[in-house]
Amino acid sequence: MKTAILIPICFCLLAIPIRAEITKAQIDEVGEELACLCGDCPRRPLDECVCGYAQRQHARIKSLLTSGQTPQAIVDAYVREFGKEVLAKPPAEGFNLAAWVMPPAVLLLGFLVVRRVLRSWSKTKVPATPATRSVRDAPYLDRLETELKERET
Amino acid sequence: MLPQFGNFLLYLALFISAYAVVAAIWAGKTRRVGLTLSAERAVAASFVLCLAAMGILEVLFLTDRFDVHYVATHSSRDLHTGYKFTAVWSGMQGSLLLWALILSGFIFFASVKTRAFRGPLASYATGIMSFAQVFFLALICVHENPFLTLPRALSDGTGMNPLLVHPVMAIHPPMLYHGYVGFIVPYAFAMAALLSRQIDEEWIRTTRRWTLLAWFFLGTGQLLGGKWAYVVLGWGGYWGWDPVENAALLPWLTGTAFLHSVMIQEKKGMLRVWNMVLIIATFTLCIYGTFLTRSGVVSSVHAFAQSPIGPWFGVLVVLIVIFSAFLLVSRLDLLKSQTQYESPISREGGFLLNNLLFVTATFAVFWGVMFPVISEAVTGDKITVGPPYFNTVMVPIGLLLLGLTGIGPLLAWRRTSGKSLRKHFTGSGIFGLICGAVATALGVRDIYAIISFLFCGFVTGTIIAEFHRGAKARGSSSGESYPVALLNLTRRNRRRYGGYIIHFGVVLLFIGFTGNAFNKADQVELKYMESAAIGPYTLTYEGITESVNPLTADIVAQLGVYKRGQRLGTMWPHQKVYYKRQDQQSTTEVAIRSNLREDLYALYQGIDMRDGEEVALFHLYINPLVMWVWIGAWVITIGTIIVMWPDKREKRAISKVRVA
Repeated sequence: MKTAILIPICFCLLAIPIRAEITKAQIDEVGEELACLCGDCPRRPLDECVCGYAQRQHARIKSLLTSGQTPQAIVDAYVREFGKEVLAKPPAEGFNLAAWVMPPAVLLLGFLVVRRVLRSWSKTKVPATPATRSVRDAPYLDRLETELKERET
Repeated sequence: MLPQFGNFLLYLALFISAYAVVAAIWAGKTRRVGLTLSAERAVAASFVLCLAAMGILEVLFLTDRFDVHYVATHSSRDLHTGYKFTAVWSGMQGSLLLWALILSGFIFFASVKTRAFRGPLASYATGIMSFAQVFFLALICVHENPFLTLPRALSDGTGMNPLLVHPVMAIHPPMLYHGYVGFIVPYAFAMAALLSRQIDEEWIRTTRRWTLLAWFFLGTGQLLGGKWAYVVLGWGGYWGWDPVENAALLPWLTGTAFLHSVMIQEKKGMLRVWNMVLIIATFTLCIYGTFLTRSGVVSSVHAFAQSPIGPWFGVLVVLIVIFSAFLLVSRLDLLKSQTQYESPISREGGFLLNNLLFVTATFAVFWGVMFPVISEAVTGDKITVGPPYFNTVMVPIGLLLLGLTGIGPLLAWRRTSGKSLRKHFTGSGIFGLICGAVATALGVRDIYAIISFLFCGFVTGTIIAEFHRGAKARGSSSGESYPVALLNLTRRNRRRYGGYIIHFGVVLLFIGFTGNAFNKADQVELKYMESAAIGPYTLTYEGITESVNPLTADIVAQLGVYKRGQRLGTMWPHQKVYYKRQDQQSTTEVAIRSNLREDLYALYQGIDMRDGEEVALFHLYINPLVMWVWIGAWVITIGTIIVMWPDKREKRAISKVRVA
């Protein structure tokens, strides 16, 4: 009889989640997704900022984590409260994806343009005449030429 | 009487500058020497008038003339005399006058330097620069006049913004303005070259030193701004990717691309259109930066700089773009380049890649600055584009540029053979790998930091190798000892070896930037004689002292600094309360213990009560390698001076030709 009672009790105890102390790393995991909106710092991520506002948010994040909320749920709650402005980085979705896509796209486009320019230069066999060098820097260019020749040898 | 006289001088400068525009442009068109001389005199007169107007404003500040609105709102009787002098440019009106003065100085000295070869190029350039001067003087006279008087004199002024009461802020704005303004010289000469159809390399050679000067001032101005943010704003960093910081970075990036790109044009006559585009972009971004700073289009921690004149700068940006684009397109047929290209593995290829990366970096910063505005317009949502975005996007680009800093100078024009590549890169490459390996062995796990240290080692290796090879070759041919050969090598080819020194300064900057990957920050509350640990340091709170000065009430906290149980010294972070100001504004004065390895940075945040006991609040930071940023800035300064130093032999050669 005793055993019959104890076994279900043990199972019930096992089912109770054991909450470990929330670590700074866990708070930082949420904090790095959120911007400090104190207005004095340049919107640093909360995990890097230690101003009074950021400290209050660290405490809030800690209490939310302690209450069992997931990091994503906490971030979502912040977005509901402050809008997308509270996110440390533009979300990579919808129109805001353009924030992330455009710089590498420009680099790629530029690379293609440079490649095309180089190819067109290769095809254009213009006689290698010197640039319209003025007498003013002729000594400098001559020195440079000599040095380059010396290096080649 | 004095304010009215200052006002009169400003209007006179405006009208004379307007005359200079007409006279110079007409002189360029008709090639009439008399008109050229008249325009030059007008430019000189405008400079003298601006100088006199600024002198009067200084006198008004130094003599506490609180019947002048600008003085009354930016100074006070008990402000230190030195700061009364610098308070002149602490507000919109004075800063615009300083801007106009610097601009008039640039126009005047550029006209003096080009007197030896007067012609349409110089005349048109004077006209274009004077047009910008008219714009600034008109803004000052009509919108932001610093000489407006109050109906009744105040007994005392409201004082200078306490955040600006700092030695660095005395020189940061003038440096930055010199940078912004300085780029007008190459821009104006580029446009003058198009107007006069004098499409050779003359405009580049004429303005090379001016471009370098503007580039140096803009870069140094930004670093000084970073230093000010670091020691005054108290958020523990020197660069926050704030829109106003980015506004200054944009023209610096395109200006750097231009400085590299013009070398191809000088050497090979190539990239003529591209160089025009770059200098147009650089000057446009200078004005665009001013527009961003003063318009409030984007939110910034530098909100004090906002004013209703912002839209006028927007109009100027549009005018510059339309004028420059029209001129460029209409002269495209004249800008055909020489083509002397063989292989992408060449100096030309290296420069093109360098330009591509700088332009991408410019776009990325521009896009990041403007994206919140664009996104809000499209989606209706405000978003934040802050340090995490810029670090993600810019760090890889920055590292690629750093790597290229080592590769570029070693590439030969036209083609670099595989043998040459191996010969020049093996030693430096191994040195770079060793640096990366050492960093890893010391516990660095951030991949970007490892790459950065690797590239820093590689670039340093290439620079040392270049100096060594040159000195050895010179020593063997001239019989000079190694140190003398090294010195003479640099002296006789300042542009090249000064450039290497600048590159080394950039390496040091990157070492400093890399330290950001290891920053530590904490906020602590300490009871009397209680200690807190951060990194290897233990700090003990040893009480506070209060003192009242004529201008501020100072609350100074004392922290004992210990490392492994040994006392290293004392830090005194403090707060200053400007108790005479109506708003009781306070500033924080951080305490920093710097060494080559790291900065221990402490900020006192005040006293609070916890469980009936007083606790002092501190923000503590460990910022590794920061000092290398400031050392890098000094090295860049030395390199720039070497590059810009006049070359007597070059001058003699020019004189001989002119006499002939």
